[in-house]
Amino acid sequence: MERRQAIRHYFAVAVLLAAFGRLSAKLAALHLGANPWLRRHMEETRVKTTPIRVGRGRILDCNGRVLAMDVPRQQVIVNPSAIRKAGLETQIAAELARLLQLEPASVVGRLQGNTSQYACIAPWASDEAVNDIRRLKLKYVEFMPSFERVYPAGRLASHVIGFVNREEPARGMAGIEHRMNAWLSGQDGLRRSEVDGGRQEVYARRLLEIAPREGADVELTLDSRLQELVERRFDEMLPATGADAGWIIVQEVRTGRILAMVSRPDFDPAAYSEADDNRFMNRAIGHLFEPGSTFKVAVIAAALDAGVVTPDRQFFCENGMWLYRGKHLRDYHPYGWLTVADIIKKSSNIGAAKIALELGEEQLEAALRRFGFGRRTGLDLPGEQSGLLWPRSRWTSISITRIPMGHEVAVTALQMLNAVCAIANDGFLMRPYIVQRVVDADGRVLQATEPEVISRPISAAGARLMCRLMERVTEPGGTGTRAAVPGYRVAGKTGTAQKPLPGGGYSDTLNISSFVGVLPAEKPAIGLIVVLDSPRGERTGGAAAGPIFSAIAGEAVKCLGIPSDGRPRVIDPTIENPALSTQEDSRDPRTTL
Amino acid sequence: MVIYRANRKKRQGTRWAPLVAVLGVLALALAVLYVILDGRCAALGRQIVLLEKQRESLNRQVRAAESRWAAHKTLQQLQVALDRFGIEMGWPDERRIIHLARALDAHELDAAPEPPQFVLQPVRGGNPVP
Repeated sequence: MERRQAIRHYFAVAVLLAAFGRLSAKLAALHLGANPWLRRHMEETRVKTTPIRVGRGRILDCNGRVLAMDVPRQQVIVNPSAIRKAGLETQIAAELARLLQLEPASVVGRLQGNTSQYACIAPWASDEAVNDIRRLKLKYVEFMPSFERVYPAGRLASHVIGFVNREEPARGMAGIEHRMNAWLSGQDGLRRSEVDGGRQEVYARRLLEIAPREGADVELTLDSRLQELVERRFDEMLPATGADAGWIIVQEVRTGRILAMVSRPDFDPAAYSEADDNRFMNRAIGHLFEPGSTFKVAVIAAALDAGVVTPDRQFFCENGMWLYRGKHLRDYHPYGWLTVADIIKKSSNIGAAKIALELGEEQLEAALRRFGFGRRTGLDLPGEQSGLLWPRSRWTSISITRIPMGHEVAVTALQMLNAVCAIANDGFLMRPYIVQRVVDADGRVLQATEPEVISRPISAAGARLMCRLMERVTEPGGTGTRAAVPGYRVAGKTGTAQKPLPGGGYSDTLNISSFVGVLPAEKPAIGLIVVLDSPRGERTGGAAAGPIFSAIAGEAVKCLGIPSDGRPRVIDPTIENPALSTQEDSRDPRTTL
Repeated sequence: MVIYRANRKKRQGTRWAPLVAVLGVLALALAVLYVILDGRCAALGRQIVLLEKQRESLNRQVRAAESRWAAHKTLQQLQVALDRFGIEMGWPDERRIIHLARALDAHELDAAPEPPQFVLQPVRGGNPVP
């Protein structure tokens, strides 16, 4: 009996020893062994990695007005499968819909029709709404920080500003958002630290911190006051023309800065997904068209500058129809003898063709290339077209008579305006630009744009002479009288080009009508081009685009404070009678814009 | 009279005791100090984390407020506000625009003329003249 008890005793002791031995071995293995997966698991539990999110930089106009910015929001995320298992679909959907101001049916739909463990209910919920939801302590509802791109001015300059996609982080897809994406995008930071039992970060155990880099602000040359004024006036006047589309650019003559750029139809950058593709094109730089008579300006300027013709030299305009190399060339109105000055004023195609023949193919092509036709201007916006100017080797025998009237070439509105601004700028062709500066979050200037001369197609004397001749276009008897601005002298040119048909040939009913001009003609400060695609009723450039030019230019000079003679009144406030002290500013007024 | 003589052997054995005691107290004090400092550091760390969160929250509020302000002061909104009060505003006529050759200094104000009214145009790139 005693022996049996002893055996039991030893057996129990042996079992206990074995159990403790096993435990000790396991303990030793846990503490002394490598156990990589276990260590990794422990680290994952103990260490928390948190991204430090930063938003994109802002887009500002030249006066510091915000055109686009990021606003911190919260993403509301749910676990649909867990909610369904718990039978909480209706309750959670109702609460979320109420606090996020959503349709309850759409929230329920997202919960019921989703078998995954992730569904985003609201990508950009406000902090207030999120706090309200937090107070309800709803199960299976989580929040993640996000950024919403907002455009405070709405559709203003939508083609210039562009838009961003809805990914995280957002990427610019059009306009400045796209072109300057590298500057605008910030660089997220990272924080890696140990946490306590309550998953709260232990500051003393912060293992790694990579500071984020905020996105830089992009300052544009665009003046939102002027942009708004141009858009509002254009929207009022465009429907009356019946045009399918229209676009306008306002450029500072002296520097090439773009002050306003409008393209219609447009879109809302905050709701870009609802717009059709037709609305996204920035026609001011992306639509190629045959310029029509506005192109005569470049051809005649080159001929005058080369000394081939003089303003008072006369050309016979064949009474409206001229047969050249077996092809007819027509004028809108029949003319007999016209001086070069009147060829511009009356916009005679035959006269311009004869001037080009005097200039010759080689000189003509060289001059047009110096004016920047056939190549991109280099504007800092995506989607700019280079235009079309065939090399002389591909010209036909009649090309030299068709190019001066703006056929057989294709330009963008920006190219045309820039060429006219070069004439107004003593012959200096400037590179147009729309990004003034890029400034980081600490105020350091990362990039600044300075005015840049691309070429000098004509001399100062030739440019001034051409400017004076263009002034006559808006005077009585010219084609652009309706583009005149009361109190200001306008130098400009009308353009009416037949639209080419897809199958070849030209339409008899559809035109591209335009007016391009600078003012004040004495000392040009701004250049402006108005282009209308297929206006109905009065279809000529002078009749359709001229009045729009007049209305917008008339307000633009007031908005920008441009005096009618180009000389601002300057007084010394300390002199007793300011009226007597009125003097001409020695500075060039164009630099004071 | 009995003369007690110090037991040299005994005295030699207890000579280190005070030193050990002092060292022990010192070690204890250091340990307590360490615990106090550690606690203080942890408290400061918690405070720093809290302040970081507060700063982040304030940044978010600033951004949200800036966005609301930018939306309120757009030209469209200004026009709506003007329309609501029946105020019509246009750009000043050219004759009413005068550029000042230089700004007035405070000491010159008394000597300044009293013109009818100057309409001052903001100069591009500078601050608008109030």
